[in-house]
Amino acid sequence: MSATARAPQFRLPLGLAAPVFVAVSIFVLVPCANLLIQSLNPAAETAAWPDPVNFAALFDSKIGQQALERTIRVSVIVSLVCIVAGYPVALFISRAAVRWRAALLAIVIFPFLISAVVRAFGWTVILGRSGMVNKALLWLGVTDEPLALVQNEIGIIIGETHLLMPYMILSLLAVIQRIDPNLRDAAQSLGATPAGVFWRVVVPMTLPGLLTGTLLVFSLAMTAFATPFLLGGGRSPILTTLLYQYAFSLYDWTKAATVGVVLLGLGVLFVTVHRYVSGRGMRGYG
Amino acid sequence: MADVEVREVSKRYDDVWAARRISFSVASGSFTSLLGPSGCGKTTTLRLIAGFVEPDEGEVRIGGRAVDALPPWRRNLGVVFQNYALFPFMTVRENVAFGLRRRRVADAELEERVAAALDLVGLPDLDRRYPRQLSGGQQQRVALARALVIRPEVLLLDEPLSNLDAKLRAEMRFELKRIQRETGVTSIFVTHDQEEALTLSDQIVVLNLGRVQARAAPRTIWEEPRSAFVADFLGVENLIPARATGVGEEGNQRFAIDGCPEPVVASGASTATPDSPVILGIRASDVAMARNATAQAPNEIPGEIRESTYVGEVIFYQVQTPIHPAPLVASSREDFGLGDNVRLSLPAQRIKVLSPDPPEPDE
Repeated sequence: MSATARAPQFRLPLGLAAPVFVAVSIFVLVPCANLLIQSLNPAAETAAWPDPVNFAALFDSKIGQQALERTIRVSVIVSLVCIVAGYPVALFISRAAVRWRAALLAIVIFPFLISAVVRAFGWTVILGRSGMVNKALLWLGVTDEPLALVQNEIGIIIGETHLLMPYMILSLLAVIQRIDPNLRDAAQSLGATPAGVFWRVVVPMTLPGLLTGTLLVFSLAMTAFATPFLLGGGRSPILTTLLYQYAFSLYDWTKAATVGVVLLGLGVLFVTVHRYVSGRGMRGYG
Repeated sequence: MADVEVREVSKRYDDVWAARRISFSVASGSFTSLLGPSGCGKTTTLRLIAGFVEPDEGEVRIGGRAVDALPPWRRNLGVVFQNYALFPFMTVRENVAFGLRRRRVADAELEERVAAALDLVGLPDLDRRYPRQLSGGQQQRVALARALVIRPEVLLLDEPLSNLDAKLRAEMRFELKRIQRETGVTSIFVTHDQEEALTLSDQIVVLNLGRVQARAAPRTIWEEPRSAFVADFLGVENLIPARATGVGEEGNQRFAIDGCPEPVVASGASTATPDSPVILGIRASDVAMARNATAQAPNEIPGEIRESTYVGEVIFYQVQTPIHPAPLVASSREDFGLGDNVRLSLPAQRIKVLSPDPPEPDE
């Protein structure tokens, strides 16, 4: 059937979606293009546009390298912690009695309900040199002097994990709840221990949710600003806080645009890899 | 292969007994059906044997060994589920190989056993497909192969044919029988379908409200049901309350029925104590119908035809009689019209003397 022969009802969704397409084009694609153009501005009077010197300068500078590495490291660690900690929570909620489930879900999404400033302040109090975590560690004899848990990379990781965990739990929960309980029984009757059921049945069955959750957590961890800004301190910049510094402290729009393009590139790279992995991992799903 | 013994097993969910003092034994290599309506406890009993739920009381012995302390993954039982429960992300081959991989069977032997199992269930060429690419009947065969390939001590089947259409169900029934005979595996089969139970089993255990109602060979259950529930569940259409009045000539028992001037005689094997309430059961196919409503020999009842349904081989008639508020059902190959007065005769040797339903389970 040709496209022109379609009945009117098939054109309606396109018509309804059109404003969004237009808005996205104007407010996302155009600024992105603008960002790219600015990042290629020549640094010296004599050079001509496009000049990749800004990227060379960013990757040559110590702070640029550190910010890039830290951004990737923090995003990877936050994603891993969310996966490892999210599975048990999602499994627990899926097996909880129905009457408890709403309350448990409310607790899970609680971080979304608090503003970034309040959340960061709370963590600063808890993780500070005389906060309860350090007091507990000292009392237990784990450490002799208070550990630096905020105003550094650890603070960023803890804060972002707290913020992004709900995305992982909700993504996993959505697929865990659809698993036929008979599959667990079948696997056990065939000799699978509970651990075997988890690795051989639950993980493969929840792979779509795991991939969705990872996509959300990783890209949000990479682009988060408020939490790393408030919990990271000045000496542990990541790309987003570096960008802020260039744009609003130094008013160097070209450098800021360069960082922005690197962030965008990282995001596109991650989504591409994610799509490739998903495509391979999901062959058995229809 | 192993025998199974279920001894006085009980399981309670909140305040409902899903299984109440259930006992039966299954001989090694034989086929037993657990038959009953939904909620009768048959699936719970199967899950207790499989180890998916723990009994509150009683014990399950497999091959002479108590298995209550063993988790399901140590019991070495094959389970086939109503919805097949195939792993959707694995190919047919990987589904069947799952249990062998858990047992760390070497590759060469694994290949051989998977192929043999798929051969046994008649699916040798579909090993690379995914379950969603198979029909319901094919999925059920894969589930059977997956359960049998581990050489289970017992094969447990939870309504495996219920999701199939009628034609396929009949076909799979024969297949199941062939596979069970070829493998000789001790099998316990849960069903609500009396026909499945009758055709497949060496023994039928009828359950209701969590209790065993009857436990016998199919022929015995069919021909000599003891209780009204069992007779009703096995399709005895006419169940008439009566009272035993004594033993007549030739050892026939006499029964008084309200609205029937003459006592009804039955020559059934089971005896009722005099003056005790009983239920007299007779199948529609055993009731003879005649046009003349006048003659009144023993065991003959006048009636008027209320409704008829043509089912091909015979015609079923509902006949209103003075002896029972609900119409009796009789089948005949002859045509009768609605409103016709007829005479029903109930052959004494075809009347089953049944105990009334047992009281509701206590607690």
